[in-house]
Amino acid sequence: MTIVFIDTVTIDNAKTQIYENLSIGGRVFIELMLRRARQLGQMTHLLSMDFAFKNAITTSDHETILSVLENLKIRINSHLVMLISLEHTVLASTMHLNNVNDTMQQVPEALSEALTEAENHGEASAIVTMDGKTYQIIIVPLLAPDPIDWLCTGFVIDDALLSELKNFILADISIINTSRKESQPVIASTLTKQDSQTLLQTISKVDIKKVKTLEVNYGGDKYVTAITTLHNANGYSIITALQRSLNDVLKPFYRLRRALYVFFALTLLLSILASLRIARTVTKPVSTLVEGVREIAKGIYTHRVEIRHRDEIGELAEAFNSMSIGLEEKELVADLLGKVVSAPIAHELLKKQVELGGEEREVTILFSDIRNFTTISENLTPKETLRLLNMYITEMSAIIEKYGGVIDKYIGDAIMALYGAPIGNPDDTDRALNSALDMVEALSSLNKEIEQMGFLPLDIGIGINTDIVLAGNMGSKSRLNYTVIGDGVNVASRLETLTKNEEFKAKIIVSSATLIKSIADYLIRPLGSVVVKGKTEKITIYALDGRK
Amino acid sequence: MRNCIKKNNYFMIFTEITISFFFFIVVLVSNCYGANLKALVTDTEGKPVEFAVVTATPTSFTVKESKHQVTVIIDQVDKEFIDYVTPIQVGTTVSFPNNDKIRHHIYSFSPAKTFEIPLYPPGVKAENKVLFDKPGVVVIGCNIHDWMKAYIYVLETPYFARSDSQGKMTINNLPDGQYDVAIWHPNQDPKSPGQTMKVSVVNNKDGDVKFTVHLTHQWSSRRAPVLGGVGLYH
Repeated sequence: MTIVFIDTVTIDNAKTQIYENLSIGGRVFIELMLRRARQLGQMTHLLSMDFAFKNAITTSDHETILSVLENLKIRINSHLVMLISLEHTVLASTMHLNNVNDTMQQVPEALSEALTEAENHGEASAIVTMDGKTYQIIIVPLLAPDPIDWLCTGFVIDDALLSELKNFILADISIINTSRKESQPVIASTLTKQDSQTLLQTISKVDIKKVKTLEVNYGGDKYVTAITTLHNANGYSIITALQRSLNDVLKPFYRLRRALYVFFALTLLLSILASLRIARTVTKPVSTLVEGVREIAKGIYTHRVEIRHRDEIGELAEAFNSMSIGLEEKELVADLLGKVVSAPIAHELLKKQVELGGEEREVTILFSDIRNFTTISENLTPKETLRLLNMYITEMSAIIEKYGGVIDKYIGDAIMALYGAPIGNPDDTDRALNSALDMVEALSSLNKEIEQMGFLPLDIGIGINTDIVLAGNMGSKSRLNYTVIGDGVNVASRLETLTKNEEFKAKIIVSSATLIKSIADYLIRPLGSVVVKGKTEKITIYALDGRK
Repeated sequence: MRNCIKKNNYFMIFTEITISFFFFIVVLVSNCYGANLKALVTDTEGKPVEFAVVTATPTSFTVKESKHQVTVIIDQVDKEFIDYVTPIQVGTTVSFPNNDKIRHHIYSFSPAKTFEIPLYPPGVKAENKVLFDKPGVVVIGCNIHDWMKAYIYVLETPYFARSDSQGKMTINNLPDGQYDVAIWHPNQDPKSPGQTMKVSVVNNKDGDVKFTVHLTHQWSSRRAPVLGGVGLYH
């Protein structure tokens, strides 16, 4: 944008400057031609005053006169000398050296006009084309001491002359005859033939009396042209076209512009490189960090960012990695904790400041145990026992956790689970009951697998009780367990033991305390009241056979 | 007094010619030496013209050749010829003394008399006489002083006079007879030559003629350079 603007302004400015230069050049050229005419006039005058010359002229001997003119021509280094009578007939001319008969005839029209001018002003100068050549002519009277004849000297205007003047004016010069009749309108030019024809065509299209400046295109190069009138005659004008190439004048500017383009390109390249570098050093690491943060947010603590910078971003990346290492470690702890303790407990432990001591809560306690596991395991290797046990516990634990139960501990083949601690739900009793029913159900399908493996099927008993117990972290400061303590726990354990009683034919035995709290309907069977060890009052127990 | 008159239109010329024909043929008091013919010459603007020559050529009798050796002087003073115009009769000798402080080189290329007196010093001894034996206008110049110019009007008739600064002249001692009275001036326009009048002198009576001449500009060299150096001729 800026470059285009500068371009326009500079080119306009260059044109104006050229026009100014050319108009000065035009004035200089006219002045040069005038001075030349004056100088030639003085020379011609000087020669015309030569007594011997006058003497020779008055001999009326044509051959002598011709030779005298020829001599005069050489003396002043002119191209033409003519002796013209006061009646405008050519008495002798160096143009007709070899053809004497051509003389004594009326002068050419163009010359006649100049003669009239000389008659009125004592002398005259004009630009006249004769025999295909254009002369700047000077006419002075031959005084003896009255005018006896006119002496005319001519100096050819040709390409060579203009080439000489071109060095002085520093512009291409063309001299053109505007007469339509002229067969060779271009009198002389420093241009090539082709270019001068182009100039002629351009000029012929405009009104030369009004237009003083124009542009001519020579094969892509624009020439600023200034027109000056050199000579005005009857019916035609001789004009001078001074021209300068716009490209020549603009060369330094074009060089500057090229330099500007290069500079611009370099700057652009540098800024791209700088942007890339910034992207690499700032943007990319930042987006890597953002990506890392997202990964961390998703819980992928193993994520690390790889940014090796020695700047603030590098420090940030290091901090981020330290953070994710910390998070991973914590996650590992939490994970391990989750495996060692139940997930909710682990969560509770991690969430709160771990303290010894507990709180009284209403908790539903579920105890499950495999019947005759001792007998079963006797026929198995310890490895097989462990495998069987792990299969069983994995299945059962999953069900308990599904219902939000918290596995308090495994005691051999027995599982103790809590509903209501550390977090309570309104339907904790239902969750416990449903867990028990699902466990029994799940076992029958598990047994098929176990039998396929060649083991004896398992049978379980489950006891469920609800009571207010003390829940909390128990043990020492360095090693503690989250558990519940209270009679209710013993009752639940006792109820599980009661399932072994053949009379009850019950796999799940539930205390009335639990049933009262439950909301859903179940298939239950009252089993009467039992006295539980360590408890004075009887408790009513029920067999849980299924859902209604 | 060389008035510059440029082109005149032909109507004007015609009018002037008509006016010029008002002349008188007067026959008056008897005079033993003959009649006096007064002439007044003016230009087209009515201004008196100096250096005009009026000639009376008898048509009714032949002029006898003068037996006297007549010598006329054209002097050179301060790089000018004196006089500017000198009418003489054929057979007159003109003496060209040099009363200047410097030398002069007199010449003429006129067909009536071509001569050259090469550079000669001042002094009365050098009389440098030239005999003019053919009628016609002889323009004389000086080879080393371009502006110097004088006219010698060589005539067959002995009856002539040159106008003074008032444009007046008198031709004396005209015998009775018929004359062609003509006018000549060095700057006369060749395109409108002066009229010739028929004049009769009877009983020695004086007469008057009036002439109007059409003067034109005659280019010659400038004596002093002009400021700015433009124009070599005037």
